[in-house]
Amino acid sequence: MTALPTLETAPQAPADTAPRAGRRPRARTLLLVPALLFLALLVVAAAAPGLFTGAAPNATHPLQALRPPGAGHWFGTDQLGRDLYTRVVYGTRLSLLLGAGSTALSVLAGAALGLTAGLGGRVADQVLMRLADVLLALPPILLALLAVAVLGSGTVNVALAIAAAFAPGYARIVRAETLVVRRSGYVEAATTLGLSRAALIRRHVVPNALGPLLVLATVGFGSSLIAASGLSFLGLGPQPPTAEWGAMLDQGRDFLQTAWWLGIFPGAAITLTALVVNIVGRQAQARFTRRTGR
Amino acid sequence: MSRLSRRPVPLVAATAAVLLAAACGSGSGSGGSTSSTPVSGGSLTYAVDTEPVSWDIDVSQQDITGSIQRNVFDSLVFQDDKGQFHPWLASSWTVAKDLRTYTFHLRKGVTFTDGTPFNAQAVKTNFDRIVDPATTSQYAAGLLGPYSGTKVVDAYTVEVSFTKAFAPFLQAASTPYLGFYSPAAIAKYGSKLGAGGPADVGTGPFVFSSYTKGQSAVLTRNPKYDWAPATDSHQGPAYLDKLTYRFLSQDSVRVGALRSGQVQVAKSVPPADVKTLTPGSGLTVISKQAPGGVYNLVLNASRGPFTDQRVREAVQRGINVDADVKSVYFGAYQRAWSPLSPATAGYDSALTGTWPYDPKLADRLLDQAGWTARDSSGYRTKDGKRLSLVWPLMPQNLVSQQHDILGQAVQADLKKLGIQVERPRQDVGTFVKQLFGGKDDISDYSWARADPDVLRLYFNSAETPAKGGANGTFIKDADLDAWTEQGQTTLDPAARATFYTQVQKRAVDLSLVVPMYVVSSVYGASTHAHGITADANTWLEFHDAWLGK
Repeated sequence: MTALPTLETAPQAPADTAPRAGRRPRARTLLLVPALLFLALLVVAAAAPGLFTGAAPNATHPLQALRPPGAGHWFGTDQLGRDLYTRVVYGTRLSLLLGAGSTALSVLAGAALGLTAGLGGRVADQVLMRLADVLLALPPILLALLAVAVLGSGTVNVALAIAAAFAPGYARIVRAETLVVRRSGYVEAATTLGLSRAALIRRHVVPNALGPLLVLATVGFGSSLIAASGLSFLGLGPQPPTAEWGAMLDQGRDFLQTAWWLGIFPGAAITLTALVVNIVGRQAQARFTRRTGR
Repeated sequence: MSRLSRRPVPLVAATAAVLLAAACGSGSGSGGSTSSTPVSGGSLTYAVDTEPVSWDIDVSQQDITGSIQRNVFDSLVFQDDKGQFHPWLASSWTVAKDLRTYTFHLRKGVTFTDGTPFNAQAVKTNFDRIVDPATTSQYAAGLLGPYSGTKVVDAYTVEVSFTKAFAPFLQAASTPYLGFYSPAAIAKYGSKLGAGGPADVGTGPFVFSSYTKGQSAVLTRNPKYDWAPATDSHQGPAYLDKLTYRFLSQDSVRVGALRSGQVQVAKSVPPADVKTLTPGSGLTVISKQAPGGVYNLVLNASRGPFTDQRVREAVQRGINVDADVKSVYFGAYQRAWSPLSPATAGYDSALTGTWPYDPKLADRLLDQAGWTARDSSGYRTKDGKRLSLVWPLMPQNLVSQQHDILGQAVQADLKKLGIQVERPRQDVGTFVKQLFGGKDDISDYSWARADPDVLRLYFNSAETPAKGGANGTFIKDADLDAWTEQGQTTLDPAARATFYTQVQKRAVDLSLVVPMYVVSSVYGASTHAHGITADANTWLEFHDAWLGK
């Protein structure tokens, strides 16, 4: 992807970024390093959970049921004596995959729809955007629930449902970016120079319009992760005994009074991951804004 | 699925003593203890964990439907927890020697809450409706067994006939599923009765005022009620003005609502919370073992790997029932050894300890059955096919008693043997279709009914789920068929026990079921709620209930 270099060749000079260069970026940077470290840790845990724990996530030990956190079981054990730390670690992969997969799907769908609306003429634009307006009027989680009701539960369907729920938002942003780019001086210049429409779209419109989208997607990843955990919490996600944070939170729900650790650790995992992804996403957004003035 | 008794099983021991004193010593002045005198009025809210799919007592097979509608519908007879039958809507009855004809003399002066009279024609209309295929009865039709028809002898006498001897009929007739709709309501609403609400017109102590799906069902006092069974502690209308059922599927929400006083009674208090409900907190607990079928894993012997008895036995012996039940329920529930609950007549205690956990034996059995190879995930294979069993999960709001968690323990046990258990989550429609079609390998359910005839529903080849039975094993076994049918042909308890003992042993020997635990109802209640009684079926009764200060 060559979004940024292309952008820098734009005839318009980036807006003055000086007023933004206060103390806030520095504070952001301070948080960025631990956030990136934690994110890296999550990725490693997702790729190779065996590096963090020697135990098996689904192995039951009835005699060790509901042990509080302590030596041997850092996060305690659940009703069946399964090590909660191990299950949280093993849950990373599915939880991240659900968040990332659904985000990627919704970005792809949103981009396709947004570009079609932005470039496809008035009729396509009106139809697609009114449809998006309707969908945007509903909270994404409600749309996702509707989609799961139609598709049925399961890991893949949850990803599809969330993608469908968030796609209209992305479509709207892509369309707006497309229109801005299409009417910009450099595109007009390129048109004047006789570049074909297809080449114009490929070389100028798409890369420039998608740049902001990728940044937004990073932030959107956090929302998708939370939505996926939410659906899973409602029992619509992966089938048991698969370790997944949302499903684990659901299991811990009835034990908040008697075994708090069952809910706290999976809940903290979801919260921290969403937080960290947001910090990284906002930082990327800020840098992008500074460079492009948008 | 029956209520056998209106004999009070008081929630609070102290209340029991007080009530007893009040019952025995009327006119003794009762020494100024005002709290011992039931007071009329007030509104009681009861939080339950599941919600009826159909409210139609003639259609539904759910316990929750029967237990709520019990307040709205009366039966011909009722059975106390000693197994004795008492007059209710029938003031007397005779049973023909061949057990094929039952003659009931109905109580006079009973009216439905729409004002129409309860009479012989009403009995006939209701029973005929149950067996009408258009009703699609999932349970009541099974309770009527070999029903051949009802004859109206005169306005208050009916003869109910069967094509063959049918001993369990009195017990069946005591269940709410054979209760009586107003024939006017049947004519007017027909198939819409399943929707609940004011259309459901009965003769019971309460009127079904309104139903809001997903939230609540509101019952109000039937002011004309004057035909309670003699064993109730009072006659006449119920004390409560209003009885509200709240559907709160989340255990923590139900217990929380009880603690905060939003509800006065809560069903299915999780074992982990039991010790936190103390009289000091104004709350108390009652626990009672339910009769009927225990919580069984039912193995479908008609399909896939389970057609081989060795695989079934491997599963039966490879599940660590003791440890799993103990860890999920904190010892609150007793593990089961028979498909029949110890609280049921004819229970075979000799099965205790006869099929202990034995993973080594299970491994050997699977080897013998030819499941010797292993795939990369460690599961057994035969001819390149993985040993995988399908055990679907209901939608989450219909899963109760931590059965999903217990299921995970079973999955883990069987994984150790190299058996994969898949638990796809299905919507109700798919779930029922799969189960009725015999497309699952494992299904799991208990079946509350205070008669060993429940074993016929579990193991008679005619009683498939699609026909209103509970035979998820889909077994066709001549002995099981014969014994469960012979059990219907006699009223002699000893003879019946012989038949049903054989059935229990054979079912375990054939590894058709893995009995898991004896279902016990655990309720939490406010100490201000008095006179609430659990029947032998463990369902709560509210005719005698009242609210104190």
